Amino acid sequence: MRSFKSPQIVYAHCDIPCGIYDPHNVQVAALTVIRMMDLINESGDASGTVPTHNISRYTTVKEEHAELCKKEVRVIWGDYFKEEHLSKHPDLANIVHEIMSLSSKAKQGIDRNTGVELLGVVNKFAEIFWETEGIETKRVTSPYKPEEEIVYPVL
Amino acid sequence: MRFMVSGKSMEPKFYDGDKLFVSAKIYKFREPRVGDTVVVRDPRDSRMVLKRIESIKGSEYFVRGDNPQWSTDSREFGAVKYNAIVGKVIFRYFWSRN
Repeated sequence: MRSFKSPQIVYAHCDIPCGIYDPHNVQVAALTVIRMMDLINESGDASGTVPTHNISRYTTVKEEHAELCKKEVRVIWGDYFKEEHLSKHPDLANIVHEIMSLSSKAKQGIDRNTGVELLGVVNKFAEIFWETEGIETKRVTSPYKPEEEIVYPVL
Repeated sequence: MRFMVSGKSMEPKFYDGDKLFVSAKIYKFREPRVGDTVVVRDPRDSRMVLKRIESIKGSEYFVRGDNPQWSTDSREFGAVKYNAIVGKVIFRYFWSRN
């Protein structure tokens, strides 16, 4: 008679289903990279203890935020995006790869164009992310320096 | 053996409420393989969980949900031993959706 019993429960579960993913941190990190590049470039070749100290600080923050770009994108790429997203957005792998490369390049140098290029790819990544969530996006200029364009979800 | 799925960790392959036929006997004839969807006992509390075999190292099996965002699996509770594998999913006899 055992076969007529209800089926047993098998758990396909998650202990902590947080499900919180948002590319906003990546965008803020990319903006910070540009801002730090600007501050470094504005410092010019001034010598002395204080300018050297400031440039050290800007460089540290620039590198930290370039690394943050990579980390945040890795998590969304690895944990959030699924096969169906990849087949719908075949350029996603290239975009992620570009973010990785440009973040490293931004660490190495102080060319503002690298930072702007990084932000551009990060914005594309954010647009795809929100599209997979079925949420429209808009592009706005950040109301703070470096006043570059970023993608926001229309909620 | 028949099982009903509870949870989302195997989406999009298996959905919450799907009913599955699981065979324990199949592993008398062949070893579990990477890619098999299996019912295993969670080594922490012996609760039966549905996962896919991701890799095999000797007698240790690393299992993972198809939907890792919503899955607790070997990333958390470590590898499971052969004797923790209850059986392999053979077919689904009830679709809770589609």
